[in-house]
Amino acid sequence: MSTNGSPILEVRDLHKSFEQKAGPLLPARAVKAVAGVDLRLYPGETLGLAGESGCGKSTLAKMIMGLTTPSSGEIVFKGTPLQMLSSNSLADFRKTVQMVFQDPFASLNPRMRIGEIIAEPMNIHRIAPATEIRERVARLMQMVGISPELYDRYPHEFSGGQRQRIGIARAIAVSPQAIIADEPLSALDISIQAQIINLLQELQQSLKLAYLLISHDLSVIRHMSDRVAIMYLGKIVEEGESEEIFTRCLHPYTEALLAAIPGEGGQRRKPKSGEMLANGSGCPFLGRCPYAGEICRQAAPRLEEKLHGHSAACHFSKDIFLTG
Amino acid sequence: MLNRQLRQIDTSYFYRVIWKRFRSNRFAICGAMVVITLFILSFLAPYVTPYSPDDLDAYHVLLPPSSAHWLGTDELGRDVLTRIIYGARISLKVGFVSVGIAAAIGTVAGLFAGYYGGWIDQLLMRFVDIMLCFPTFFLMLAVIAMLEPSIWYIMIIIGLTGWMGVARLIRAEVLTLRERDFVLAARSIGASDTRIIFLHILPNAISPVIVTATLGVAGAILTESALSFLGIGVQPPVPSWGNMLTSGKDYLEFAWWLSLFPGLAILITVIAYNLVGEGLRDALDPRTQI
Repeated sequence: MSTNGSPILEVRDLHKSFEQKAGPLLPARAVKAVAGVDLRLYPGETLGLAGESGCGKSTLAKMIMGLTTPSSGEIVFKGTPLQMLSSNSLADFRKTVQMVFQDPFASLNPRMRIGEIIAEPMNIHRIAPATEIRERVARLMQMVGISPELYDRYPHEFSGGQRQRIGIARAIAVSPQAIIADEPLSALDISIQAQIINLLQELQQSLKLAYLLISHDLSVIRHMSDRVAIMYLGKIVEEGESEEIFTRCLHPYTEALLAAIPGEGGQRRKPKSGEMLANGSGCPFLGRCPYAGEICRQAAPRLEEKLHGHSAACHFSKDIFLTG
Repeated sequence: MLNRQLRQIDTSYFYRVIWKRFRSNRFAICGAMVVITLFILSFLAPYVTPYSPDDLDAYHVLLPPSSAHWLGTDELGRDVLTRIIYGARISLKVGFVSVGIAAAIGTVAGLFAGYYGGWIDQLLMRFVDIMLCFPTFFLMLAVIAMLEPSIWYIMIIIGLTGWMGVARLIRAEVLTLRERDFVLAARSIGASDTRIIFLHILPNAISPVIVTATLGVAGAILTESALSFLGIGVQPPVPSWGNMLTSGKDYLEFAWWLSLFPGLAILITVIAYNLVGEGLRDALDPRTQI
């Protein structure tokens, strides 16, 4: 599944830091939200991106969508970096890669009818004559399970789950190949979450979509993903096939995340609570790691392939997790 | 059939909610009634009064209020009520045209400053600061002293010096709207800046403009009255509430009705617009969003 032709999207050594200007009392400093991320999204697959809040997941999603400019590094779409795309290819990128947002109450314009909201991408890209668009909207609404008769309603007349369906209909309106879903479930009730997961999976089947699924909920990630990347303080610390990660993790942070899933990983060691050390030359996970040794203080580990198709950024992966 | 009816009700949803909130505010309704009455009176002026505002009548000079002349007559024998009704036309015209100019300039400036940020924002907002420091009333006096006094100049000048509040309000709205998910969604589907500004941001930022504009009408009416009172606004014999006060002040000791009634007209109109404006502010307040 993981090598299904060439990637739709490739993220190369992406960085984003937010500058804080020097004030009268404070020195200038930069907060690194994303600190060197490499990712590839292949056609038809689901890549799960997990990590705690504030680790840079959403910033990464926004950079991929071109909503935030990276500090350095590049996002490559079908072989061309985003900033080098001509306006034609940029329109192609906008059609190929779409986004589903976290908060279904904020992501729909309250002053537009839902039919207009779903039709907007088609109007912008002029993919159908005006007379046909209404018909297409009706079909899209059916696909996501909203009655087409509700075309003229406003977003506030819908529940959270229904609004998320409308947001999904808007995303698939221009027949994209990839959807970046930034926490698409976290604003919804558990029962609704299951429905949306099913909808996303159905659509993936019928439309051959690739998902970059961003979530802090590992059970959702496990359920939906083919491959998983674990992010910590702006870096990918572990990446591999989904089952690999969940059965044989190679990084203490992943272990800690897994230990936090209720009903799973009972015997796994819990991490120490402690400072998040973003600065210095050592491993960023040092302060919270139960296994840290001398080398962790001196050098930050790089993301390396430890097993076939399974990488981790830890000096002790092999010693701790593979020799048992 | 039922379906169509439902649909029509739904399309007017926002207006229904706003109307419901507005209606529950008794002061705002009183204000709205005064404003509507003024509109009707000034449009139908020739039909509601038997006199003409320019009819001189040397035999009925400075008559106190009576059944023939409800609010008395002035020093040239003209009916005061008639002149107040015709004066309302001027006031409404000044109020709406000048506020229309101010709202248009302010909205555009605020949208650009808020949406593009950076040096455009800096430039526009420093210009707003400068304009706010300017003693606008003296600017008007100076401009009108150079040009001839005319109602059109007055309206334009009031408009050109009154847009800063709207610009600041719109800018603040745009700054928050710009980061909202539905705007990011529009950008991520490839919408142009123009489309985002006019389709996604403006409709959601318009409420404060409506409120400020309504309050601005009251301010514009006051400014016009003041200019006319000083003799550089609307020129006699065209009646305006301001120049009626001017001619009335010479007869204050023995013909109080000449000053009192135009003054009351100004007072009531300004209060009415302020009440309507505040009612709209409460009704449109996004913090009590449905």
